[in-house]
Amino acid sequence: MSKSKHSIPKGILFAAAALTLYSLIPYALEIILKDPSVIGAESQLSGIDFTGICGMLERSFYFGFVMCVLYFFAGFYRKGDKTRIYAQTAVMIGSYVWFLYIINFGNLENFAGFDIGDAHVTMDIFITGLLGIMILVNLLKIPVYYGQYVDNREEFMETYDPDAYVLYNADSPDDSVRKTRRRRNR
Amino acid sequence: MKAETAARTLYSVVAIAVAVLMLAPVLSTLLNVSEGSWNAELSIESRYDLAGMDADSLGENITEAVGDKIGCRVIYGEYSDRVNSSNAYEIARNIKDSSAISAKVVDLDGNILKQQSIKYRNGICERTVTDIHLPDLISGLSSVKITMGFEGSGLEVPATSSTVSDGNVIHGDFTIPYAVKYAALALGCDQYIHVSVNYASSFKMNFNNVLDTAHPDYSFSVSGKYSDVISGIPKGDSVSGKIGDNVSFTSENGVYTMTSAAGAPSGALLKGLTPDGISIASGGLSVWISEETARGLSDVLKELEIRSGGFL
Repeated sequence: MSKSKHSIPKGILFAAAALTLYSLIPYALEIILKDPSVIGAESQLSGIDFTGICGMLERSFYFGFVMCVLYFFAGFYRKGDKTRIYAQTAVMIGSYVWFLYIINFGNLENFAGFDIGDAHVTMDIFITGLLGIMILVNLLKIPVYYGQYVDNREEFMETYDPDAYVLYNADSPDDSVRKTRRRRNR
Repeated sequence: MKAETAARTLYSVVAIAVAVLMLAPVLSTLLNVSEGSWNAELSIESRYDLAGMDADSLGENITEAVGDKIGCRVIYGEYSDRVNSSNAYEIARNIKDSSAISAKVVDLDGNILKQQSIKYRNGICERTVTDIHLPDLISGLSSVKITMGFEGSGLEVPATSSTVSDGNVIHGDFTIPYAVKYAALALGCDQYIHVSVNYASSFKMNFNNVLDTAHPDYSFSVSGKYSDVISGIPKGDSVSGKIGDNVSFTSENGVYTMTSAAGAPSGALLKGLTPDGISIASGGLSVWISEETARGLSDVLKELEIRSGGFL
């Protein structure tokens, strides 16, 4: 009897890591910015208004739950399983949407404020070029996912799909073209 | 090398390169940032060009520069006088009576004082010159655009000049006609400076700084056949002149009046509008406002006229 192709504990581990990264850390930062006394600081940085930054962290906190679900599936499917590539691609798309969402699709009005004498300055940020650069950087994750799949495919089949592994090794080791075709057909 | 390792190496190199390129200006500044340099500041050295400044505005500027400091001196031409907040206006009149073309205010040690902004006033407009010192964290600014406007009115006047020095000090020079300023403040709009800068080639940042809040003592009414009257403005010398071809104005005893023979001033302004805008002139003084600003002024006056229940 073959072992399970999926791992719920790993899924939970991935989800917990995503929850920490996308929700809990931003939430903690937001609490500290709103009330620095929680970490022993005496008062807020004088003259600086963090309302916009807190809004960003709050959006990250909420979207973190979506990322948590996506990451669960990325961990749930084992390395070498083709479905893991789809799950990781969903995570990649999710992380880009998360980025767009926390920066309010590039429009960060009232991002931060400063006091200047008796007056108050508010700072708006409009992010333009970074949106395109982030797409390119994210797309570079696809070769990583596929590379991971290729590197672990044989071990995955040997451990979790012995029947397919027998078929995989039926040809001579030099018959790489047919081997690759079979691997793809799986 | 395994496929995953190769792909991950490529990804890491690209990601780190992008991060370094994006964050390099901020990181280099962070390394040099000192305590107390997180706050933005609006300040300019107290050096005055006396040609564009009347005695009252000179007195006001000196008062702002001196504040409650003692032992200050104002240096003009070959003269130097002790100055404090109580004799600033008297000294200002002496300075204007002299032939000096510039003046500066220094402290006890001879250091030039600083003030939030320098105001130059004449009969028809007010010029504000200031330096906006952004926090040290923000550096490498380029393509700066500064406008002065009034919240909620749509009235905006671009800076006559704006430059960046030391990466994060923005020099702004604005001229705003009284007709525009008084009408917008009478409508209850706050005056602001809006600074738009490009940063690190991927960010565009806007800074909005409220300069002057709406004055509750400004009031608007209509009078006679076609006159708009704004009361409660600062009292100064009597001035009269024309706004375009169809509207005349007077400023006297704290009352600014715009009168037209061609219907309500709000509409008459538009009748005299040219593609270059409209001129506001009095004696030898004149200032142009753009077509967009003139339309904004017309809208503000129309709103005020409607609120006051006149010209219906």
